[in-house]
Amino acid sequence: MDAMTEIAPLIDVRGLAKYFGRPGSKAITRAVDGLDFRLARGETVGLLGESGSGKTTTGRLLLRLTEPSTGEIRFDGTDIASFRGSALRSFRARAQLVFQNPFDALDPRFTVRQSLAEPLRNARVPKHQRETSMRAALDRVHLPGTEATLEKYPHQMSGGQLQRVVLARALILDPDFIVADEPVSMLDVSVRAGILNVLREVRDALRLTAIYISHDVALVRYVCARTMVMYRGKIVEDGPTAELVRSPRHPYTVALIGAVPVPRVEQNREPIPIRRSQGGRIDVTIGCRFRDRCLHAHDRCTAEEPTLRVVARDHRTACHLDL
Amino acid sequence: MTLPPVSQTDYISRETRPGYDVPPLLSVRDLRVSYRTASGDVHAVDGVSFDVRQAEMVGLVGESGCGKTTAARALTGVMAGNARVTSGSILFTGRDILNYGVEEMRAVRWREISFVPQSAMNSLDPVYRVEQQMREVLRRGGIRGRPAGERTIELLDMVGLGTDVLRLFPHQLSGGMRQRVAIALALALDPLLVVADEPVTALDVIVQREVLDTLRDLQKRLRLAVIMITHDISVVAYCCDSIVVMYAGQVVESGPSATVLGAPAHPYTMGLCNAFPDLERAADLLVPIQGSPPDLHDTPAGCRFAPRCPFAIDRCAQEIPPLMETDAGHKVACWRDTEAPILRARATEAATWMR
Repeated sequence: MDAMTEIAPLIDVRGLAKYFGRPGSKAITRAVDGLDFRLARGETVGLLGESGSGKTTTGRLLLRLTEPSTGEIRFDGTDIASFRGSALRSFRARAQLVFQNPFDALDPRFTVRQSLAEPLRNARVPKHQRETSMRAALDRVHLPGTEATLEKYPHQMSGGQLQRVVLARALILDPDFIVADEPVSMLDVSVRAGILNVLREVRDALRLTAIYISHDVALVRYVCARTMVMYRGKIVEDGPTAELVRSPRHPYTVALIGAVPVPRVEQNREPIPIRRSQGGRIDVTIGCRFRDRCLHAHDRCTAEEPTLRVVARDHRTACHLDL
Repeated sequence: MTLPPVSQTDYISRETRPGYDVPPLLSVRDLRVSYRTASGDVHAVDGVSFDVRQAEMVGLVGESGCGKTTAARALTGVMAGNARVTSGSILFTGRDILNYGVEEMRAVRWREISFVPQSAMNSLDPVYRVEQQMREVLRRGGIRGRPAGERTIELLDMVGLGTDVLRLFPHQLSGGMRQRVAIALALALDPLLVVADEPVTALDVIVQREVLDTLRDLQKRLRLAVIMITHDISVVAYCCDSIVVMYAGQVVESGPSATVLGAPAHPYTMGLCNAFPDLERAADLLVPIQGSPPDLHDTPAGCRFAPRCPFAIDRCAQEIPPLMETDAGHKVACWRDTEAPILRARATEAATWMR
């Protein structure tokens, strides 16, 4: 990260929260409960978390597919909530979503050409330029940019090919920012590796800012230089991926990394350092939201909510302990 | 722990040590299952053979459409309406259960062979509380009244759940708790074999690990045979004694997990190992296997992996390689199995797979 990008991040998130349920009622769900982070231009960040941690809601908020309850998201210096009309259309072109399930993401009645032409038409790209853009986009994801590919329907393609089309469509308008929500979770292992390699190439070739939302630690490590870990609506750790995987600082991250099996018979089978979730909800408005599952929790963890603090260069964690 | 009396043949004793001198608990031979579809018959399982020994946990591994679930369904006798077994045998404690009628199969299910589905939401009845579902399964084994209540508490304890879940409906349980209930139900009548279809796939990493630990612990304590169907070789490496690798309806390699994953002899297994991220190793380039599995309406004449195999020779495209034993318990279906050490070395290079 150089000095310039430090000064002007592409994405600047402050106090972002999204609550579901009637305001003021006891039963509200704090899906996203106060996020503060910045993404530098060209940065590729993984957002790790279990189901219900708020990671998908965060992705939707970043793309303005859902409105925040409080807080703001600045995109290139402007609050995205202020976008209207052509400014909103321009934002929609510059910030793209890569869908999780390639089998659902494409209209089964559309050929690849029709699917790729749609965003170009919406962005009012002149007709004569569309064909070139489509072929370039296919080329980028290693699908032959030929008439044969463009005339195919989804049912004539494999899952891996479909995911490439989905990715090509997200990249076709040369966006500045993409949010990829579980981009390979529906794919088989032997084809998954190919898509992950395309994602790596995209990361290196385009100066694209990207968030990969996943529960898969290995995927995030493979593609993202930086990782943020979410737990019950908050970021509990944020740091360089290699360091975070090698020496996690937050007790939740320690358990998460320790629980990932490896494809070799010799591996760690020690019980993972976490209390089993009892399914019940704790009061997250006071204290640490991980305290009921943490093996190290003490009085302070019930009384006072830990905030993100710097523990190493570019590495922050929200924990009172010094692990 | 006290187990209720369950009728068992003398063929199997819970005291027997697992080993290759005892006949296997389950012996699947040349099993073929087809689905009748509008566009012709699909041979989803095409000549599958494997064994499962008492107290052994076997991972049945493969990608979507390889036939692993269809093969497992045939074991439990619950198959889709358009599926039929066209040949082969499934010897379970020495009897061929493919010859069983509906009533005989019903007597085997739950009592001797039970099933843990991928998503317990689909197997648990949404309108019944956990307690009612437990009692229903126990009733099939003739356990009612107070013994049923005691057994229920014992089963919940075995899977790490408290009695508070008894009055809950399935939707009130977390994914991990539902899988634990499904395991408790599967163990209710003290079966010999549990078939678990992707039992942890839908779960978060930490919950996945906790459920796997529970399952493995029970499997060892109760000396159960378990077939774990999964696409995840890391899960197999974590908890299975042996592994059966399927590709396009056939077994391509099988044997002890340490052997098959440590020194794979079939190029498909080698490719699968390359494509799998390993968190404890450097984030090297993952190498995909080019192409995709064949259409099972129209399979290649020879080895089904040949069109994607970087080591295929002429013979591979013409003749189907048989599954042959190369070492004790290690079987491979590859014409070049004797060259496995050389191919294995070449398979670790990314360039080999990029054509």
